[in-house]
Amino acid sequence: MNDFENYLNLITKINLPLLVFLFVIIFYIIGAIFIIYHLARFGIGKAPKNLIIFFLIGAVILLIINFAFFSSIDWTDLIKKVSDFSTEF
Amino acid sequence: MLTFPWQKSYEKVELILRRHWLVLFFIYLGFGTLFLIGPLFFYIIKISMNLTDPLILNFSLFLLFLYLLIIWQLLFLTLTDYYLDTWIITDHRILDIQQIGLFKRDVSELRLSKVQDVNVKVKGLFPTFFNYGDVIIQTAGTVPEFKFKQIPNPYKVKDKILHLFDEFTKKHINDVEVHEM
Repeated sequence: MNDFENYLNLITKINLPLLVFLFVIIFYIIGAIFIIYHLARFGIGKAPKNLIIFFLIGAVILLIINFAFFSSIDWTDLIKKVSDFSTEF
Repeated sequence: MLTFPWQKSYEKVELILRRHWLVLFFIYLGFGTLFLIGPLFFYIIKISMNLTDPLILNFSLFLLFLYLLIIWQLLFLTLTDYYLDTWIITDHRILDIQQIGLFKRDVSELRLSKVQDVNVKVKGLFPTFFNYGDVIIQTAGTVPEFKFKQIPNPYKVKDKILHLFDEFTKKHINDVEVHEM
């Protein structure tokens, strides 16, 4: 149990949730750039160009929502609750 | 007026084709279902486990929107593949542009004089009712066959290709490209 608590403390110290979230976001942004690049460069006609706008609007909105929820979470408290929950079992 | 990036100055675009809108409909249907599953699953968990703790609720909502973010990107990856698969018919040539994944693109070109035979295949309930199918062009070129997959009005496309072939051979005797002389 001490090992598990130490592990959870380590997660809090190095802010692992932030690192994981940033990794996911960076990966997402790279994918979004690839999609926009391909549609802009190789798309023929108006439909691919309209798709870029639609994709960007949705991507920005969802990213903002995700950042808002991520920053509203007290990760230390959450990890503590997970630790308490696992202790009960 | 229809145009495409590497169009020659003397050629006129007759048709730019993509797969039938029904293919797009099924893409949207599939991803729409995935979009709905997330919130539904969240709602079921919230009610069944009686989630009232704001921290746990916020974390669950964060996971939900992260899921929606990933589904959004997967949807547009699929749509990119749909929209970048294109067949272009001009009064001089036929182009088959296939996007395979993100980093592979096949472009095949056929001069109209190389068209030997044009076949249409409409097979199945949906293709019959919604009038879409495959147009297969037998060629005398390096690529033996051009296949237009799931395109709308395949019979009209076949007639158009044959008409363009006739017009091309009348204007280009011995297959000489007069515009490039």
